[in-house]
Amino acid sequence: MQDDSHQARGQTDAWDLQALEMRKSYGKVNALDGATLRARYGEVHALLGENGAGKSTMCKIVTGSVRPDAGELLLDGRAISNGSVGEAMRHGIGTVFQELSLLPDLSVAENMFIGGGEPRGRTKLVDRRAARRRTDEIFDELGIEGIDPRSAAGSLPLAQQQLVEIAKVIARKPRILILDEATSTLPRQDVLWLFGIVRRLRDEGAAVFLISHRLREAFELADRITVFRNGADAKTGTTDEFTEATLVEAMLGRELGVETERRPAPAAAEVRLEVRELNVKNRVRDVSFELRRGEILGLAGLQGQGQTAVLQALYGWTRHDGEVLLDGQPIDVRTPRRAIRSGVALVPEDRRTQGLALEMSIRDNLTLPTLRRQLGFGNLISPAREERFAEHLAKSLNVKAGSLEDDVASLSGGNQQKVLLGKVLSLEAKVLLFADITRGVDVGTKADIFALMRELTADGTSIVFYSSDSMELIHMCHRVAVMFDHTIACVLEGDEITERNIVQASVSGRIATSEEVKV
Amino acid sequence: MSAVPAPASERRSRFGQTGWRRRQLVIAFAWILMILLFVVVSLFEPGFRSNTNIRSIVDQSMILGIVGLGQTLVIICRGIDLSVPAMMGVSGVLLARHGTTTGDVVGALVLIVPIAIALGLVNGLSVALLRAPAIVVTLATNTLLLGALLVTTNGATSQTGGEPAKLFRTLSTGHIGPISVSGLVWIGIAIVAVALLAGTRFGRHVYAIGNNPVAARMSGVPVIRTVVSVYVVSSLCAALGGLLLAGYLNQTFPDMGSDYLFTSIAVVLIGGASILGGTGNYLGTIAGALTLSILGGVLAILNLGPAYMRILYGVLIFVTVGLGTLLARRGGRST
Amino acid sequence: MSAAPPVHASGVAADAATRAEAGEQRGRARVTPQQVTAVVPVVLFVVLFVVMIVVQGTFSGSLLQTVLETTVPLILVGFGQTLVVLTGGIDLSVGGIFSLVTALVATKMTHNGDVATWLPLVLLIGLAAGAINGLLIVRTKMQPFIVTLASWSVFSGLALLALSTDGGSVAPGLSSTLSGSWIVPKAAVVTAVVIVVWLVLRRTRFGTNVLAIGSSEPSARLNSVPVARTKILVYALAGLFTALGAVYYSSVLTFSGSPTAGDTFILQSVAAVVIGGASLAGGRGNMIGTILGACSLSMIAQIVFFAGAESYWGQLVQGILILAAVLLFATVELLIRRRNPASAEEA
Repeated sequence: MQDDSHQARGQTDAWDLQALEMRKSYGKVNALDGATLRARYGEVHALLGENGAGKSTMCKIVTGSVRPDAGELLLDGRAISNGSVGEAMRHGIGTVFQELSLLPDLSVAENMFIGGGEPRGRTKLVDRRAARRRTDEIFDELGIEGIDPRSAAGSLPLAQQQLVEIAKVIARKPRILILDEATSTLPRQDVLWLFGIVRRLRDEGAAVFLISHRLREAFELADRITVFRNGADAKTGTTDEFTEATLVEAMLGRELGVETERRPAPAAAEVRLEVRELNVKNRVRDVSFELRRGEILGLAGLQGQGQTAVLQALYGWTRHDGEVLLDGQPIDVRTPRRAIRSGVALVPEDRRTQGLALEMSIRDNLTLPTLRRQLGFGNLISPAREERFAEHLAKSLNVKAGSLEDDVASLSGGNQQKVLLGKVLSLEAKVLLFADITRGVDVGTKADIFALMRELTADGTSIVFYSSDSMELIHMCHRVAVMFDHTIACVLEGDEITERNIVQASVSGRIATSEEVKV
Repeated sequence: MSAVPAPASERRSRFGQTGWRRRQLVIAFAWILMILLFVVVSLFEPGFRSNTNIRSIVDQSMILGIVGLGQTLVIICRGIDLSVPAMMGVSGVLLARHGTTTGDVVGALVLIVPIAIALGLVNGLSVALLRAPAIVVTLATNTLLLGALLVTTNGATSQTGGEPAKLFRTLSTGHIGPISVSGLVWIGIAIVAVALLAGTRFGRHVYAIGNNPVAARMSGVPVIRTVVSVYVVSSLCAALGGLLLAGYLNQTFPDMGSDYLFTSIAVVLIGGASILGGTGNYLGTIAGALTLSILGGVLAILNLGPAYMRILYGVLIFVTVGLGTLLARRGGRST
Repeated sequence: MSAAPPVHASGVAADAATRAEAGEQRGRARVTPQQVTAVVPVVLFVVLFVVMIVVQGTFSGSLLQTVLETTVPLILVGFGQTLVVLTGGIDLSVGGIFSLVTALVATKMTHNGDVATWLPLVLLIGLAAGAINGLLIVRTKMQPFIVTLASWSVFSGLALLALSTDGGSVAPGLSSTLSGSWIVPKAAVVTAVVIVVWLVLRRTRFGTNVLAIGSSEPSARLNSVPVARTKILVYALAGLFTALGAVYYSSVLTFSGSPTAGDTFILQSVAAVVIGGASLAGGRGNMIGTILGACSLSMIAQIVFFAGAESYWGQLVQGILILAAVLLFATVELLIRRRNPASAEEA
């Protein structure tokens, strides 16, 4: 489906960078199906779209890390071929990647010059002292504080690594800068800092592409927005031509039925989980809370305030101190195995690295934690029993697969997520911990997950739900605990649960009307 | 996370197989290769398919197959066990020593089994608990154990004799009518091994750990216990291999297992396991062990020395692993 | 040109606690794995050297020279192994290449052989053999362990073809040139050259690329590091330095050849690299450590010899030492990761 007719073809000369009719397929899947992208110097251009819409692939083509099957890339009116990242760099195209591209064992200074441009002495050998000095200068210029150029990049906190990554690219003075979800690990303050730098670069005449899941960032920063859908550009225009509603509509290709109904907190229900003084070294400080039967407690806060660590600690994934009580009885959650036995289960953040054995069959994955229940004769697994169990799970979660013998790797992302959920749900835990599992999931699967959560709580399961998207928390939770400074700063209930309150508590640790947490 | 999802169609190989079928194919290939080799050689050299020759092939490959069983488990678990040769030497030499003095198999086993378990525990705990690299740990324990053996025996070669030798000589070279005892023993062990890997919780845990250790732990799999058990099983297999080799050779010396460092890994790789862990099957290893023995027989017929054997082994690994890699890459994974 | 951006970024600006913690950690002088791995080989070397002096009862400058002399082949092989390990690979084929070159030296460079032709030729063979490893690893995407395991088998088979049993002899001219008395002890010269080559490499683009690949290959690619070319070169260099080690070994130390001489160098070279503090995962390690590790290993053999014990005592002690070193490094790494979980696990 060709969808670029909205751009007048005669206008081509007015654009500085053009990616025309790009096509790229992986196997039978068309990641890009005739997508076109045009940009000007001195503009910030936001690329939006659902996962798999093609915006990342488009960026990777411009960056040179992916070769298109067909299509033309024009820079300053001339066709260029981007065979590699290095070639793109020589054209003045710089990318801050979503996955960090730092080399953890090399020093910060070495990382700054890995792609070239390292200062050399008379002997043509790298002058390390000069490299360190130059790094300090670059950091000063950009307003980055407190990073020692000599320290190994991998030893820095994640947010600082992201800053080094950004500085590395910007130091090369790119004419075209691509920020591929570069803000996702940054605290809000650093996002604002980055935006300041981006504006400066733009004013100096650079073209900037911004890929972000946060619509708000697009509205804050972008001059122009292109929405991708199904591997093609669906809609493009200047930022003031869009509203949040029209953007979402363009992304989905249909109007969004907003569902804001929220059930009242089951205050009357008995306390199911009680956490007292939970501490994880460097990551969580004195966290205490209660969770009632059938309740969904949201965990909010800026990235890296300890939300993930709380969930991991409750599942015995990290070492921790503190007391955890289930139905009034202290339980042992020092390892995931013991947590499971105690009735606590976690759906991890990253299904590919933490959740699934990708090269094993769907059936094997679904039954892995519950093999004890599949045993037939002696210690042997009963194939029939296992098959029945797996089939039942797959059906109830609506997993679309040819055969349960297929590898999980052969499934689409959404279906993989369902297998992961099915696997954890089959443990029939009393308390479920959801660690940002909706990030990077398409809208359809997300809706399925939310429906499932409602079903579970109706049956009396309690859920701790961490999400980096505050709208989801508002939508789903009975109460929201906002984390700030590695502890729970305040708990929002009922009408207090608004985006404004969550954001304010996230950055300041309190809201005007908040009641302090019971310790 | 906005990378393009890779749906089913992309991951399928050219033959339309999903991962499971692809893995069966690799193992089938190992068997086809082995049978083809046997048939072709038999055509040129009719003596090759004589009962005696087949028995001697089985006798040789059984020892390799048993040592290879431990190695298969370890490799599926993302590890490697290079301490196999020392363990074989220890069990062989101790058997002989004990045999000549007291003639007591049980007495020898009372010494050998605890040593094997201790070796497996050191290897397994170092790898699983301290996360030390398996290559170096097992190389070090190999050197250490071999050194200790040499120190205690002053490097002497000793003939086996008396009761123990007879038992293991029968097990490794005897035959009941036309059927070789070693073949029967091996079939028994193979049935247990295949059932263990394919049909038990332990087996499933082994594959899960090899495939994704983090996900396995998150699913409540007892990772450390399983990995340690795997190394202990490997040491026990090597110990048994050493006993049988002592019987087969009818003599023992500390270095007697040295060839098995290479061949025990080779048979697992030829059998279609990936050194990255998570895949592999004992049926493949059996085919690999038989292939190596047949190849040895062929070279003996052609009167070619160990030089050609080494070259052929190397080429064989390249060909089989290369083919597996090719299949896997069509299926979307590089090995 | 606009002014500096309005806000400063520190990555942890939003929360004071983390910043305070960071300061606290800086004050407490955190121990990094790099520091431990740098100190251990030095301490080990010094301790063993002292033990050797005590056992032998005398101290002379030639003692160090004797140690170096017997260690030079291992240092040369270890140089190649270090480069390979730094990229995150492993080279088992050094055993095969070493055997092959030793066999060729003992059969082709005899007193009536053409040394002038064969000396460059065997070095070239080493280089080519390594390059084949590199090419196979890069092109077929097979694991270095498998490729070099198979090529070890092939190369050692070729060595057996060249020389079926221990024997042969090295041209007296070559031997006397290399092993005769030089103005400066030749072992020291070779070691110094190796160190200089390393220090220079470390400050070239190539050297950084080697570390970058071992540190994280996907990231290296994103930073336009020529991964394939660098890897092929690394394995080729490993082959070349192994060949150099083999030439030295057969013409200075043994004066003859052995088609299986290389096999012990597989374990020894990997052990030297590991004792020297390199991480087998790649990205971390250095040549000085490897040299100290290699010397430590050969000193153990000499101490056992001086003490009048049978040589297999050396094997026992070496095994204990390697195991202790690898367990120590693993423990240190584990403790540090545990102490500072934020950077490792949240990623």
